[in-house]
Amino acid sequence: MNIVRENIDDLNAVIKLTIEKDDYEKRVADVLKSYQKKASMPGFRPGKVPSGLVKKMYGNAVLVDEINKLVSENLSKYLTDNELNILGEPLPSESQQPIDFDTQDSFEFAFDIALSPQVEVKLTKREKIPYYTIEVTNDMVDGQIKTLTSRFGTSQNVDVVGEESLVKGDFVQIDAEGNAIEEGINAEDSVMSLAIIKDDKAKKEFVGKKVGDDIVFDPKKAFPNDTEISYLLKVTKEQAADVSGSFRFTIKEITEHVDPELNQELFDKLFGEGKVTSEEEMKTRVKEDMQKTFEMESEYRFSADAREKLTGKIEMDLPAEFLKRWMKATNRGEEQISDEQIDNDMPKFLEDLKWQLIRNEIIRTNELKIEEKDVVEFAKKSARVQFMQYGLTNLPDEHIEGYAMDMMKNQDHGRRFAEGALSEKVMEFVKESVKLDPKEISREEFNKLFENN
Amino acid sequence: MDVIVKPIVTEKMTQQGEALNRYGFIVKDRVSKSEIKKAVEEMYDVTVATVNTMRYSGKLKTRYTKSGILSGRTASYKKAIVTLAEGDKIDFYSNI
Repeated sequence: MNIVRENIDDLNAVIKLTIEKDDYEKRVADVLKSYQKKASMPGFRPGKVPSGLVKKMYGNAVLVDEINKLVSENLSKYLTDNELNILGEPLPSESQQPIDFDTQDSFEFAFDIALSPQVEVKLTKREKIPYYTIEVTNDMVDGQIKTLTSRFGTSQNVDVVGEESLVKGDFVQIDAEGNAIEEGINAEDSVMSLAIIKDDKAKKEFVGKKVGDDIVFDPKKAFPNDTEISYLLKVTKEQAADVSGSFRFTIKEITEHVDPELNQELFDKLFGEGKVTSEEEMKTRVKEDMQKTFEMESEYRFSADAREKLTGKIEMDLPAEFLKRWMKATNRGEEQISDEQIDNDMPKFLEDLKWQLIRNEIIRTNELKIEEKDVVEFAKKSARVQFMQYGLTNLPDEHIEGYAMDMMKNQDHGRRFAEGALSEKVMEFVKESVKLDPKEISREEFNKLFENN
Repeated sequence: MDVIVKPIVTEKMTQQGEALNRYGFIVKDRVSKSEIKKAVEEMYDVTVATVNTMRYSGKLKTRYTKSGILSGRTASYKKAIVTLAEGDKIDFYSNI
């Protein structure tokens, strides 16, 4: 066994590995022996197959297998022993001689590796990274309260049609003189919302009308969308497209959505019993909740900014050619990606890699470590976010913890949480070591920040 | 002159071949060890270390049939156990 490294340049190197007969002979013999004990072949009792036969049948496969194992074992051992930081994985070199397992006794393998460049990350208070916070305006709070409370609203029958009422009634198709067409379209008990009428004139006709009143209007004008017409007139979509002329609508029922009263009962339903007792308190509570969600977005923005800043500031060379080859090799399986695609993805990939290296360097030099409880904390946080998306904002802690624990049992999730917790640690560190430039901006401006990238 | 009649291919001899490098042959009745050595070396291209021989006498076989008792004798033969020099091998299964 012989391993040599030849450096091509700072970033690329070739590892040459020679395997002699002595290295693999015993291992192959052992494997063959265990095969022999189990092998069953016609003409022989199980386990009594002559070793020569077993060797002839499985010898080469076992040999290739063992050599493969030997190579990867030794290669990774060499890499860890010499503390080489490599990018990607070692790839078989292009200068590799073809190997004939039948005739050769000693085998030589050559691997190309890419070494990760030296990275130096210095964070000082001189670096300024903006930290955006989103201003929570009263309008936003009011809007949020409205969406929260409207879920508990009720429908009420009213006498007069208002701007946003729901009216129920019958449609009858009429001709120019206002008489019902005999073969025309009739629809009973259609429900329509005034809020979606696009034609202002028709809308005005409705407002102020009472139960039993007739309104004549052209649905084609009021509802440009055929789907709505087909729903209202109870006809198919194709028929709806051909509908023309006026209809008489007789109002049978008017309902209006009424926002619920702001009382203790509602507060209890929204925030849990006894947590909120007045409208003022509700406002502060909603504002706090919104700030909390926005804070997460701020953090996210900050991490993106910090990442951009650091990758922009730190220069490093990366072995692009090798990485291209590596990407191609790793994606060889189910769907091959074309060279073009790789070329397209390359800048983004290099950027990601750069950040990865910087991150690792920060972790290494500052000895950041994550512990079990960090991961659990992170898992709980993401569980909470997930519930928040469903509108469950005030779940008890043990419930969330149970859910988080469940998620962590999945290995994939566990790894992701660990990764996430580590990222958070790094960001915290970055946040402490650079100078923050706090800025308060409005929601719209904040959203605009993301449009640029 | 023909020396070797046939090799002995049995589980027992296979095992001995693998463990002790010994191979068995049925040989002609009147050949000597040195003749066996020479014949094996020529035929299989190996070096023979030692040869042990033994003579088996044929057994009496009697069958009782309808038309009376048939009795006879199986053929007697000579068996040679050949130990090869270390590293050498004979593969009786090479043509399977």
